[in-house]
Amino acid sequence: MILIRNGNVHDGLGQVLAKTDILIDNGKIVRIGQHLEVAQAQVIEAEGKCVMPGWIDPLSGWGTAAGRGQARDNDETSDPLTPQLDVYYAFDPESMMYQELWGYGITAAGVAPSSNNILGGSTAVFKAYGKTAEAMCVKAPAALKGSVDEKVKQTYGPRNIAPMTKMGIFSALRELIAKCRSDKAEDQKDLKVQAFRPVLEGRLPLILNCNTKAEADAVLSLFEKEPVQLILANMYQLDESLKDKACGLILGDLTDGFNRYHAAVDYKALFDLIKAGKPVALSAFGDAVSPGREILMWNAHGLLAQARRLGAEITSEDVLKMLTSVPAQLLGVADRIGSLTEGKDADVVIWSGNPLETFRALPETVIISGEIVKGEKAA
Amino acid sequence: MKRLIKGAKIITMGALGTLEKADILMEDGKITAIGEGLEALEAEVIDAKGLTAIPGIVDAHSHIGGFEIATGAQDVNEMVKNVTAEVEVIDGLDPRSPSFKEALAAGVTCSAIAPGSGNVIGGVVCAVKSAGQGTIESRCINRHVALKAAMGGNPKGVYGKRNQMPMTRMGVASILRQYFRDVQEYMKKQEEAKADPAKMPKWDPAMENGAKVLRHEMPVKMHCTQFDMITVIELAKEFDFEFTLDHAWGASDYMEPIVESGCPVIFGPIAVAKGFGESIKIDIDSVVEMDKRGVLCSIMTDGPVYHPWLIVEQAGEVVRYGADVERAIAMLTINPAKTIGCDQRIGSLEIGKDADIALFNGMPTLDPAAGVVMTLVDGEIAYQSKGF
Repeated sequence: MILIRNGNVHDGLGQVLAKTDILIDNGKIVRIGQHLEVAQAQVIEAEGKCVMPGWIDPLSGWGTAAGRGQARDNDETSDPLTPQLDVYYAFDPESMMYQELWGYGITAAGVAPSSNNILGGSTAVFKAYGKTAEAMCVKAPAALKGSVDEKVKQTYGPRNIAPMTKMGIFSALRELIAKCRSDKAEDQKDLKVQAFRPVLEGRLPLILNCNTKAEADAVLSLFEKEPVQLILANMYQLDESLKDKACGLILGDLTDGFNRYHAAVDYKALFDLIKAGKPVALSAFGDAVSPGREILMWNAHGLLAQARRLGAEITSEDVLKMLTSVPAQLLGVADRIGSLTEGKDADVVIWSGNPLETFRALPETVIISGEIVKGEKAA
Repeated sequence: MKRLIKGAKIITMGALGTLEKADILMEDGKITAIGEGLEALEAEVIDAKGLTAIPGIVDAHSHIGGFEIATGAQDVNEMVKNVTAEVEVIDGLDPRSPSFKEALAAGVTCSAIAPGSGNVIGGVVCAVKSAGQGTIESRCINRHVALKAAMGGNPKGVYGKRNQMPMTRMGVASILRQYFRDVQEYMKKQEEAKADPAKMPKWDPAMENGAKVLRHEMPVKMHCTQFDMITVIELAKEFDFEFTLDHAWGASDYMEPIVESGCPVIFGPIAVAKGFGESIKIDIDSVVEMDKRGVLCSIMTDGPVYHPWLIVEQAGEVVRYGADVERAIAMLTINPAKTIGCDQRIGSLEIGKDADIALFNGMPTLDPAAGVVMTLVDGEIAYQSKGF
């Protein structure tokens, strides 16, 4: 058992509990409260420190590339429509561990196929620490991932393979939807159809990258009458019209200088959506191939700077939600991770300061699935 | 035109140190007074209560204006041969590039813009202000900042694929050695021509730029990481040239030779995934140690690789690993100004220097939500955030 004592507990749901204890047993948070007394626990004094849930990078390629510039096993660009693929088979625990994501507070990630296919395959949620894919896996599949942005056209168009245009992208999606509804035996047996049907029936979320408003609107319109759990990603041209749409958002990375969509981001509209309760998660990858573990935090900082500049009432607790409970909710793993509440996995980071409010903040102790990954272990 | 910034916390990076609440008076593009309670008739007053003023940020390693983000066009990598010491980056820059506007919004007022790293020797680096009238020439404050060179993966990646040298690091070192031998020979002939004009070699701009390096009129700006840094240090001893180590990933493993060489380091950008080859260590914590041991350290974004505001973010990462805030701000201002040979004009807020100033709504490198609300270049307001 581990007892984290007297920390300032930021629960990831918007609350801050001053001088509060967290008791961890068997990989789970078993009690949160004040003055917990436990006879045989390793005690970690956290007075004056900032205790947060581990952050979740919801749409990433972590664990699918051996290193910067190495082969990416999540990038099957031999066919633009591959919903039947499963990122689980691309996931290399060693590659994930090597990045030491917990050094920047990240304890879990949504690992996804690349953004080069209309439908790339299913994503899975993995912990940042562990020995095997099985042990690290929180949920697989977590969602189906695809993209309607220009990367798909850039991947296939030059080969004279559809899609060369956006018409081609949406035509392929329509055809797949039609096949899912067909009662022909050959369609029923098609692995692609079998992989997409849970999406159409609302049993598996669908994440689609959209860089522009036109792309997002086309996706929303295509699935308007379906019970699809839609998550729109990147979304550099989001606007207030999304308030009334049934979809979650994963904001794409805003640090990559080569991304030409960043200048278009309407932060006021974004902050209004967040205030209205729209689930918006932050992410680190965008269209980049191998960003560093710092990027998720930098995106959070960037958002807070924009909020201050605009005088928007977005607090560091609001942004913490976008790194924890919101991505957990979007990926369907909120029952396991994304907040500091009793019964959840013990993915806990003890920071020397609040990393969303000062640069003088280091993750002194990191606990993943109840195991101390960084910091002093029990004797 | 006179302007007066009133009531700011001023981090001068000069002899005045940090002033908790003071004013800066500027006239005709220069700083004319710094102190408390300044008054000036006919000056436009900028109320900076609650704001923090720092010298305009200097990015000592950038390529902005040479890459066009919207179209992907590039004019800074002349990759037709492995040595292009004759080209000058100033000829490849678009003064109207949106990257300069973006730089101003981040408080970056001057950038040392370098040719890319596709060639072993890429050409001449210049320093330009982010704002100003008309041409790049008129915004350029140092035409010969350095001669750009690149070690390792980048030139290997360009020429190796063509079955040309350099395909290996051996090739890179050999090309550099051959180049500086040729320059030495060229200079020797020029010297001999003083007695016998018939011996004067044909004018060669690639050799002329190398001669500037060997005469210590400009350093070599070395794109390098890890053990490539040792190759650079050894070549510099062999040919007696000055150099900067740019990028410098892995510096923590080569601390002693770097400190001993006395060279400036321009570190960054970080936030790339760790990997094999050149990215085994992305160790910005090494900057804290180098700074303590007297290395002149600066932080770069490698613009446009990262958006310009990330230069401050990266300096914040230096604070995270233990540097004092004022040391980190020095790495954004006076240190790079010295490194690119422009500290007579920029890099600190002192009387007589250019009025290049960034006003933040919080303490940069400490407060992650701090952002630039106004940037002045040569005493003119070059950027102002909405609502300020």
